[in-house]
Amino acid sequence: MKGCIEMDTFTVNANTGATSAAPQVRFSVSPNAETAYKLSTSLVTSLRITGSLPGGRRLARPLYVTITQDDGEVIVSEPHFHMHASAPTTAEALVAFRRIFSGYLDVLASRESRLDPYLHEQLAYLRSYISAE
Amino acid sequence: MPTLESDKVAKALTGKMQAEQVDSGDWYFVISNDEGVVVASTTISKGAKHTLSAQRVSEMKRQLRLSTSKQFVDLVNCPLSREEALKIMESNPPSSSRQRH
Repeated sequence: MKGCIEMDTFTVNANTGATSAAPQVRFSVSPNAETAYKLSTSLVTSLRITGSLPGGRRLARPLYVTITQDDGEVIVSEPHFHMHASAPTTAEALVAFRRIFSGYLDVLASRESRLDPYLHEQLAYLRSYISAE
Repeated sequence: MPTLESDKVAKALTGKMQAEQVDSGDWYFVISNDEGVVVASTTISKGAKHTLSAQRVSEMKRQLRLSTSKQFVDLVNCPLSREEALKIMESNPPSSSRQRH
């Protein structure tokens, strides 16, 4: 069982190395750590992210992701197609997630004529969230 | 809860599953069926061999449209064949016909 909670929004600067300008990463976290959930060995929190993506792109609308801490790593994942990234810290994992999420658009769009219905839907999903800056 | 080594997963995807490995800052693995239709994909961060946690194995399993983590482990550790894996992947419907959460 996971929970999505009302959150405060924080902004941090993160350097992805993918663009010359250091993008801003905006993410929301629970104002109260006690609202996070303990699931077996994993700690899961739902977050709402907005803002810049690498390559001159941005999230066209807020995207809800889950942040899971498991075995010393932080995993950021979106719930529909399970695109995800991991890193030692939440901030790093969020930067990696933005890079991978944006990269998926290129990987799938360049193979659009060969995608099966499942991946066509994933591509449409990505296009609904990603726009140019 | 199973864990897997990243190098073994990459080897299984590019070897047994004949996935195309795309270098785009991270490694994207794109799996096609025998007709050349792309049916699944997943990613692994570049870098040294590392252990994929149980949660990551679970996420990758879902990305690859496998039904259980055991199927993913069997895919990497050999019992599950490419043909069997493709059959499972292609039997999972688009998310529009699944209940979203």
